[in-house]
Amino acid sequence: MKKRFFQFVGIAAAAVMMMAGCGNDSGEKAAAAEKDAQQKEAPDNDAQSEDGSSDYPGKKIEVIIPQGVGTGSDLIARVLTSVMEKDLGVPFVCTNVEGGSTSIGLQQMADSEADGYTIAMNMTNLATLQALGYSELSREDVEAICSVNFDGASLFIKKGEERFTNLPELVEYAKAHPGELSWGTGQAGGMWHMAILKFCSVAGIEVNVVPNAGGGVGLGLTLANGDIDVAVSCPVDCIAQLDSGDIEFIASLTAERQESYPDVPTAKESGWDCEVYSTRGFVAPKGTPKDVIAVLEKAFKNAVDSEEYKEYVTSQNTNMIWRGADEYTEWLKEEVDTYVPILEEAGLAK
Amino acid sequence: MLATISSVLSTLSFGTICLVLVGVVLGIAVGSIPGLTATMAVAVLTSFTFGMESGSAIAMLLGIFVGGVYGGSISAILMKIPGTSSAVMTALDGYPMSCRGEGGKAIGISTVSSFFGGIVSCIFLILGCSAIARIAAKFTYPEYFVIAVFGLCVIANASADSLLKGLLGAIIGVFITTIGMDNLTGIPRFTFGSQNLMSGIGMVPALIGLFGVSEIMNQLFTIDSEKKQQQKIDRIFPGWEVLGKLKGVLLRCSIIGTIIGALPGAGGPIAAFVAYNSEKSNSKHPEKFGTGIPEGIAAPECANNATVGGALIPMLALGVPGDAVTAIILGAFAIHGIRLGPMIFQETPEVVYSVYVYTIIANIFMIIIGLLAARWFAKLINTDKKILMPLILMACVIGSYASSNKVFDIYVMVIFGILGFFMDKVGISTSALILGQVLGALAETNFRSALTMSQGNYAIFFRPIPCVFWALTIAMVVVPKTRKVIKTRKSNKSKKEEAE
Repeated sequence: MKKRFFQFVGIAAAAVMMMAGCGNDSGEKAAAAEKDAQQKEAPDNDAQSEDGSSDYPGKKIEVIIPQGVGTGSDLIARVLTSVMEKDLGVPFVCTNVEGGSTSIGLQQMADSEADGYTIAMNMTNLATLQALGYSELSREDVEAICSVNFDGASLFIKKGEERFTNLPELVEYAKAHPGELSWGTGQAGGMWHMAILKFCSVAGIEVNVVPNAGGGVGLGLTLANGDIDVAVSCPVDCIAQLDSGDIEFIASLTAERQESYPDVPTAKESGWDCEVYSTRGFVAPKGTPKDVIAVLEKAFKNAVDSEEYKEYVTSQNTNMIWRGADEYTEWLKEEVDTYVPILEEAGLAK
Repeated sequence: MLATISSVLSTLSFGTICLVLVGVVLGIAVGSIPGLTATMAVAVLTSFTFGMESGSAIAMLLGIFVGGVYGGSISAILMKIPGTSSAVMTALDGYPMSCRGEGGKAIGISTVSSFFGGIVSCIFLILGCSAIARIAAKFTYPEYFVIAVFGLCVIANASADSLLKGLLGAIIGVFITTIGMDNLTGIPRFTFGSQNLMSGIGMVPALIGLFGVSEIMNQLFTIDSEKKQQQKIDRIFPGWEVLGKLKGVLLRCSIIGTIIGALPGAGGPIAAFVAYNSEKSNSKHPEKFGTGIPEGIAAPECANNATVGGALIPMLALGVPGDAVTAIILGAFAIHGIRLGPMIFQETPEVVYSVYVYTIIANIFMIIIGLLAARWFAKLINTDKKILMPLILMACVIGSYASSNKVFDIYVMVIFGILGFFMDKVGISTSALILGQVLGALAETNFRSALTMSQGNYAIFFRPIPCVFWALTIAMVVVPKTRKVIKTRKSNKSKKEEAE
């Protein structure tokens, strides 16, 4: 029995060591960062590049994507980093850390060493994490690098809908039949959920909100089946049904018409001032040196201008933007100011 | 027709066929390591396909998919550690066989059944893609809720010998799914303020813990006393006689697998479970299931590989992923600028044909490699357990971490390992727990979403498709019981007659 006990202890020790191996990543990073810092302090001018910035980047850069493999965010990050690898000459390793409405991945990034070797993709969700009670994380915990892409909230109805064919008719119908129409959307508390809440308050209508209307088959099919009356999302989420004409795109909740759908009017054109965007960008842990951010910002700019990225964005009917570090910092603040009051009004905020 | 054939041939080249082969080998390798699933294999290897041209990328991804789903059965049979959740049921009969030294034979049966399931589902895919997709598209919340109820009743039915213990396992599984952020309202439940519990308990670490770690703990207590069982590896191919006996099982289970695979969101574990239990309850000797019989391997393996072809149906025809793997493949297609969905049959039919062709080729490679490698795999577990077990434990730790890139999931694995060990000791079914975990989330979310959608009207659960499933559920629960009653009555009668 004693022997067996020792065997168990041995194996348990091996397991603990393995865990330590997995968990020690940040420790390693700390050591590497220290080494980097020493190198920086060293009066070795050869290590510095011509424009006077440090020798960053000198090794692989980890990009944490707070959503799953194959999602829109994941693909955008992978397309961009594949271009940046060539530009900066170091490998970019994309790691998907899902869950908690992006808070788990972002938390992992925020806990990493602020040396520019761990960055993360960020979505508008960050603005609402605190208000929804998901996480203590806020824009104060991150250093903005840049913003590269946005999707605009879009309203869809099914083909052959007889009760309404455009936004004014839809609003009129909803006013005459309060609470009757089911408006479906994706994740509860997500941006498109917020879009419904905001539009309903702007237009003064009352509807039955169905969150998580993706279910097994996706939002587009749920709408095409007639299980919901209106779907609010972005075009790429329902692309198959949009292409086949099973659903119709009737209004865009953006300032201007979406580039890929120039025939679809905005809500603003019909007199309802309502804009909701889901913006994607990149952030680094708080305290990452300014010069490191600048290197990354420049590399991202080159990648955003690349043919590969343009091609991808067009093929997915999503939208390109460019906001540099300062602009994106401002934008992150604006997002909090826009969306938190909506949540509070809807009673969703904690 | 000629145009079709020539377009199929034009997609083939020596290079792409080699890539299918590479994909299958990688898929089997990753799938057979406990903790590394087909989903992960596809996820990790997808990034390698970004640089390729689209045809090659499709070839390789489909190879990985087919190989990965099959690979999960190897470790299930040899070590009782399912490589993927779809292989949970395979362990029930596969492991007893390998304990008897028939590991090679068991892998042989699993390989041939997987091939059969894969090919039959491909035939369905080719002949009935749009028709099946049209039906699958009609499945929304009420339909999925009823399917989940159906699945939960399968558990109750399967554990007829000890209904209470079977249900207990399932209930623990269902309870586990309630941990984490609520899908509908976003409210955290049972998280006790822990950030890590927000995303719930991961399927992969739970699976590795329940089967892998608990089995290692088990081995610790028998490692010295156990007489070494050398693996007989003379005969891998099961032989036509055995296959002849299995043909009914294979045909039924391929159909079950294809249909369940085609329903977005259901997938491999449910297909394997339903197939195993329908074979068990229709068998002439249900008591032999679980002791290591060929039918017990053929049924789940055939069904889970049939879900591959099934899952491709909604992916191609609706642009909706049938499961986690096809979700990633859909993303990979997007990177290559291919938009799947109803339009693809008119716009780029060559993509559809190449998916058909590569899936078939991948299945052919799978059976060849499976049969060749079975010998080698079976030999592998002749390794001294004192060396093998720590290695497996390490694979378990790596697999748990790699499933989500969170250290937390290693702790989850350890806790579930201990839980699994004690569940085994008292005879509560761990496979019921896994199924409960799969079905719990499906049942709850869809039940609530359906009611939100219908604004509280329960009539939504009695639309045509749910009614069919209600009928199936009732039939499944009632028929075997009545059969039993009739049988005992008959035997009583004959006994009486004899006595008279």
